[in-house]
Amino acid sequence: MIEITLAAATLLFFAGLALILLRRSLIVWLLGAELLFNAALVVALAGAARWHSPSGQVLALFLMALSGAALAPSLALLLRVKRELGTLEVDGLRLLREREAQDG
Amino acid sequence: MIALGLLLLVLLAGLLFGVLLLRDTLHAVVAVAAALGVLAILFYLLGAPFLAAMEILLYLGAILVLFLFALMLLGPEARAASAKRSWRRGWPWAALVLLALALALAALLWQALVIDEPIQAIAPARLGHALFGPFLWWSEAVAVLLFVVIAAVLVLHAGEDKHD
Repeated sequence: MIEITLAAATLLFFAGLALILLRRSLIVWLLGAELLFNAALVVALAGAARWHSPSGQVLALFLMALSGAALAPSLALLLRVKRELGTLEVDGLRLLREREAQDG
Repeated sequence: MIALGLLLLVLLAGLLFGVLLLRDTLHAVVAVAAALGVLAILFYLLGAPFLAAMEILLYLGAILVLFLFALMLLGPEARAASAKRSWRRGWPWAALVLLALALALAALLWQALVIDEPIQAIAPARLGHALFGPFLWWSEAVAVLLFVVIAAVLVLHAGEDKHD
């Protein structure tokens, strides 16, 4: 059962990384980051099951809180990016640099 | 139990593959929600009933709803734009790197491990004792962090208002 859990963590890690590397939309990026957090959380739980210790579950709980804490300001920033730049594409974010160059 | 675990693994793989390929962001969010539901069942099988409940309450109930709110605030045109041009520039190179990573991970998992450890459920009471015993200060630190996050979001929002 622990092997299956580690395989699930691998799948989540891979899917998260693939979403971040391949997709263009920023909101899909954040979804990928959540999947990466989940991969770490699953490994912590596999450790808890392997050593029969609640510490791994405590770590998983803290990771859940941290991923929520990371997501809220990220989504606020995303709405701000949409308002400022009118796009949600990762490639569009290089406009920040160009705009700064034009202003300067 | 192993058979059920394998079934859940296949289901998870299918859903994550769907997330990667679905062009509409809303559909991707719903597929992630289903994948997290599958994970919650896996947590329960792994002897973590409290974490299984928290996965559903926190991830499905809060975090993914936050995503849906963000999609709602962004409006339908953002969804349509991301559906039209969904892959990044230069994605074949990234796909190549990912393929190499997938092969490496598969090789690692293949050699690894048969961990023949019996699963014992860790009751929520034991987890509570750990949280409010040896990890008490860490719990407080997480609480402070969440408070700081609320303040940060309020500051970001206030900046937006001023800008308007």
